[in-house]
Amino acid sequence: MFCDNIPSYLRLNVKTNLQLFPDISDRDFWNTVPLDTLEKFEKMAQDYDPENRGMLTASLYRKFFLDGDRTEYQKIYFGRRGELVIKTILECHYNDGRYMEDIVDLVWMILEETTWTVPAHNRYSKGSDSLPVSEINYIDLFSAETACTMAFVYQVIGRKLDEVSVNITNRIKQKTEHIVDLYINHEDFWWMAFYEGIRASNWNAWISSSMIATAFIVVDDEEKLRKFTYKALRVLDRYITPYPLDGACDEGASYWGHAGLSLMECLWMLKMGTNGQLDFFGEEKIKNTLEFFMKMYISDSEVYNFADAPYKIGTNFATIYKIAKVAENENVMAFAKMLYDTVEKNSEVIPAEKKGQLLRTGERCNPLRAFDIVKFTPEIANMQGKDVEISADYYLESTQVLTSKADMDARKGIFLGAKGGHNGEHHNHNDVGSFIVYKNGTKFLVDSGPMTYRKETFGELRYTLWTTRGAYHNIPVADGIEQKEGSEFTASAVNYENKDGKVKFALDIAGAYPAGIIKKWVRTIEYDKPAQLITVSEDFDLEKECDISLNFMTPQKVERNGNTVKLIAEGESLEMKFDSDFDFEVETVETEDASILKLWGGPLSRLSFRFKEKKNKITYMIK
Amino acid sequence: MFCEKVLSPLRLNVKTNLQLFPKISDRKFWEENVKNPLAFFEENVKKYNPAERKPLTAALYRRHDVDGDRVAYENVYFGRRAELVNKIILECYYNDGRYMEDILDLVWMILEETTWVIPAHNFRNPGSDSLPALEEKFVDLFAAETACTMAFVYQVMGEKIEEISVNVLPRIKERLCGLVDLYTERDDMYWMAFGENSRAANWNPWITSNMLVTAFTVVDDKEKLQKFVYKALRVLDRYYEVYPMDGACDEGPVYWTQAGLSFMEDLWLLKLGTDGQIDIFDDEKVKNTLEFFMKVYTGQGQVMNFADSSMNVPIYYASIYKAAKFAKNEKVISFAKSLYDPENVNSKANQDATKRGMNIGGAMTKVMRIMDIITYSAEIENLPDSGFKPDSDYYLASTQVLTARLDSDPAKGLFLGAKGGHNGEHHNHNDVGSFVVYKNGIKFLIDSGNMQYRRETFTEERYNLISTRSGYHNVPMIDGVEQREGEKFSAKNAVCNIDDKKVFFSVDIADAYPGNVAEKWVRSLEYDKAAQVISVSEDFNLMKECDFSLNFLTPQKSERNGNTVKLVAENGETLEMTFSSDFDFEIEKVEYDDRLLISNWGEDLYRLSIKFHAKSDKITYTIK
Repeated sequence: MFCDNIPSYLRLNVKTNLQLFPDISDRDFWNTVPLDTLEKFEKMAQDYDPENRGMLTASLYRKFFLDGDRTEYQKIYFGRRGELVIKTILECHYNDGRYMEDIVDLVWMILEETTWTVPAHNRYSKGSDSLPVSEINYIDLFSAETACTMAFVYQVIGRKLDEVSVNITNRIKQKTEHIVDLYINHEDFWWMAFYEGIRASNWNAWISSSMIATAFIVVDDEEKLRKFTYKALRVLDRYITPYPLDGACDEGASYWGHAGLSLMECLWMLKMGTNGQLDFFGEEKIKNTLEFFMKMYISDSEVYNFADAPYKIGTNFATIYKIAKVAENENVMAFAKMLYDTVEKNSEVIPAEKKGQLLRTGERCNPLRAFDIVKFTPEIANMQGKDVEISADYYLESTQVLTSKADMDARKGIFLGAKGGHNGEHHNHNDVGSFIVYKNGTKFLVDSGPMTYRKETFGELRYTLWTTRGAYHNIPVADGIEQKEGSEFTASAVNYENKDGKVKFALDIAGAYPAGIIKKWVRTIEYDKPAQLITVSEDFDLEKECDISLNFMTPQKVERNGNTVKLIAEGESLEMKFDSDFDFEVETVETEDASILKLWGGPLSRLSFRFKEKKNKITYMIK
Repeated sequence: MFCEKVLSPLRLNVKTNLQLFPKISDRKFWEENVKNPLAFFEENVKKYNPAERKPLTAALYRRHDVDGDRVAYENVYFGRRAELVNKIILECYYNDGRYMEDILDLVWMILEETTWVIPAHNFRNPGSDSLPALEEKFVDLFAAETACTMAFVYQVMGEKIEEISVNVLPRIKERLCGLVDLYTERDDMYWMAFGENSRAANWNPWITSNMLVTAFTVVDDKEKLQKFVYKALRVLDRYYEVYPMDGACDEGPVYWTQAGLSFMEDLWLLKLGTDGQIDIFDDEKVKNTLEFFMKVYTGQGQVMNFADSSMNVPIYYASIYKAAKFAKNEKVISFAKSLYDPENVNSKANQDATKRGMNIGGAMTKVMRIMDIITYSAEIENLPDSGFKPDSDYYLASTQVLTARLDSDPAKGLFLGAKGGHNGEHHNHNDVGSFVVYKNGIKFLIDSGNMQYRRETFTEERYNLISTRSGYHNVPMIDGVEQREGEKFSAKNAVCNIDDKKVFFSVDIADAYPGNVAEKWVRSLEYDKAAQVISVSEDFNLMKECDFSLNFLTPQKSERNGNTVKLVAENGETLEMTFSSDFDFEIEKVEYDDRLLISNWGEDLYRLSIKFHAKSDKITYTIK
């Protein structure tokens, strides 16, 4: 899509020294940062104690290699960057030097780090073992984001750094430009997806967004910048080509923030950096990609989550607004305004990056996103115009993902999320046919989301983690056998209907299990909106007679009464009523994982409904 | 001296991959040799708490520039290196991996430091301001010392580090080779002394010794090593040429431990690394250089100090022994044996000195010295008791430095140290004609030594510091005027006569003062050994009649009685100064909050002013 009409980099009109961020001397801009935004940044700045920044030692780097832990290193690593971005923004506002020493210290520390690639990604760097090779030869997500952070600092506060010492900005330039060179010269980074059989994921767009910002700030040589830009188009083509037309992100909604939205940022910067020569915002696929998040959104910065997505994530309201504005998508602009009004306005800190990311990787702070908050918050707060129009139902055919609400406001009545798809998706969990149910904003049947990333998360041991397993998703287990990973383990005969207030989603998930167990398993979920009732039928045919169980994850208390199981929350309950008798077991899923415990406030429970009767159909109602 | 023997790098027989330090796999060496000093290393290692290691931040680096302090940075910087060396020694002894994580972390931290040049020396690196330049073009003392430490790690622990990651040794090597290249290729580093009027000092042999270890460890390419070694010869020539034939170190005795003694290490390394092709241990000047320390040593780990030297200095007995052994100097071997304290292999005196806070980083960061202690202590212990006695008196004509003792034992009777010289010496203090007197080991009339180094120490503000001013040395102050700094402010007509009974030293110090003050001021000191009296005469002719005072620094309490001033030490020991005429007397408590002065002298240091009014006269006094 992107390279289609551009045969060579020679044809690109690039602008060097693009002013992506206003310099600290632009007092008109920096003086007018609104007080409430400032207070939030100030509050985040207070979280950092310069006396206790921690050191990134070799043994901390090696922890991922030795015992799989990546959090300990990343906490310090991201802490440095977060503190730097936040204090740089504050210094730009106050302009009185109060944070200059911290800024210089942090910049210097980051410059001294042997590598900006985090330990968990170090294996991609040629020659690295438990420690990085001395010559940086790879770009991972966070070396790119670090480069972008340094470019941001360079652009907004470079002149102040030069007053402290002339030996800082030249070093930033040298180190970041080296990474730009790697981006231009390497074809072999897996996320560029030039190899056969490789499908690009969030890395592709996310890294490119960081690198585009970096290159347009630090590269003075026009020819080099052209080559870089052309390379970015080629890389992004590999991302957009397999991306579905309906804009669905199979990695889970939280990844959209760094996949789809990062792609949008790439396009926005490319448009600016080429004086409008590159402008793809009119494309249908781009429009749908932009709208994906709105479709998955439930309320209170929560989304319908599956795969490696937690249910609660940062809203990126300012960035969504910025892009929607460039794309002239008024509804998404209004959606961004709604995110601001309902979530961000009254929160004490800026959740944009913090809330969601805290769960996984420490306090990551993307400079592009942080700056958008500074720049666009006043505009969003004062925005006039229509309210956002959100459909009650969305269905994304490419990934077979459904969201259905009683009304536009998901906090009223029953919310249903369901998915088909396959088990070879990006950041896959074995969850074909899983569905979740919330009622009046309370979570009853849920998807746990991911655990804190560690070595096993992306290794051969991934499917030993309970959060990824079929047995801990809201799907059946037959004869003790769970769904299996791989794109060949897939849903079939998927059907979606929506008429007369009834949403019906049916699919056969037999193909998601190893062969020889299930011939057919058609799950049909019907949501009768006027009645506020979900009816599920499990219509199956097994290869042999065996025990089957339907499992559901819930954070709520459970009572059984005959064939009815009642999930009880404070002031709210959900009933599941079966048409046949069953054995019932409630298991507390013990875990020490910090993300799960933090997100859910304690361990989750797994409900197992066991059916021994020789039947081939079970139906139940949920209300 | 060196280059005249070797016409070209091509003629050098260099040995690459010289094994200077035994590998950890040499179990016999490490187990046998660390056994004795183990307690010292075990005790010392407790100082280092990995959880409390601090980052070397930009702000810390900039402090020298911003507020003059260099200690805050250096404490962390040297702390890392000292911890590393100490733990390597222990790991080599135990060989069970207990310190491997710490060693790796420290090596990695040091590798991540932007520069190994300390802030106080950063101004010499072209392009640097308060922070180091992107491209490094300068090697300072501690960049070289760090390189040597890393070469030590590389040789000794290399095989263990490879087991952890293959990405450590190549990085050490790359970084060290970068420094070797700078040394080889650049002629513009001031301490190489190739510039016109540039005089080499301790930096020259000290840096070279560390770079020799580094290059012999990491340079695989023979031609490159030849070029490096040839360069080292050219550099050392600049040092040798200006060093006086009598071996005197004008920078003060503490600097000998890094100047003269480093030069000995250079010679040792060159001899080893060229298979004996370069060997000048027989040279007269080399011999005298080796003997200098023995001549200014006053016992108890102390020296007759002047210039930027504390009285307490590190006692590198093992390195002195090694050099003496290579030089086949029996006298110094026996001197080294006398320095060795079998109760404490690191030598009690040395430990005390280190405790009192050396300003040059402490001994632990000096791997050659530490390795000498480990390697030679047993050998020294097994030497027959030397019964070493220094000569009672030494006079170094080049610097006009005298030390005179009752007999060989500096702790018996009176010790007199005196100096002429000039005020443009290296690490100069304005101290022409100053003398110190100790009695039975007690310090009575003293030289304060230097203060903790900070930015002002080496700028034009230097002579605002009390420790450098003649007003705080044992020399006259004339009409409120002190001696001035600069080579032309000099002693003249120095005379020294030494015989069995008496030592006589006389010097005219008038020229050490600005021109309009004194025409003549001859200070004569006569030490009558049998009577245990020092008689001083001050024979002067001033430009005009005026007030003047004879000033003396003392850590002791004093009382006046008629024309006698009596200094009383805590243990009751006294020293009397009896003058030939009446005088006004003033005692001033010297105010300071300098860490080094406090560690050497505590809070109490007094300046005695014996005040007179005259134009031309002769004042005599006795000290006993």
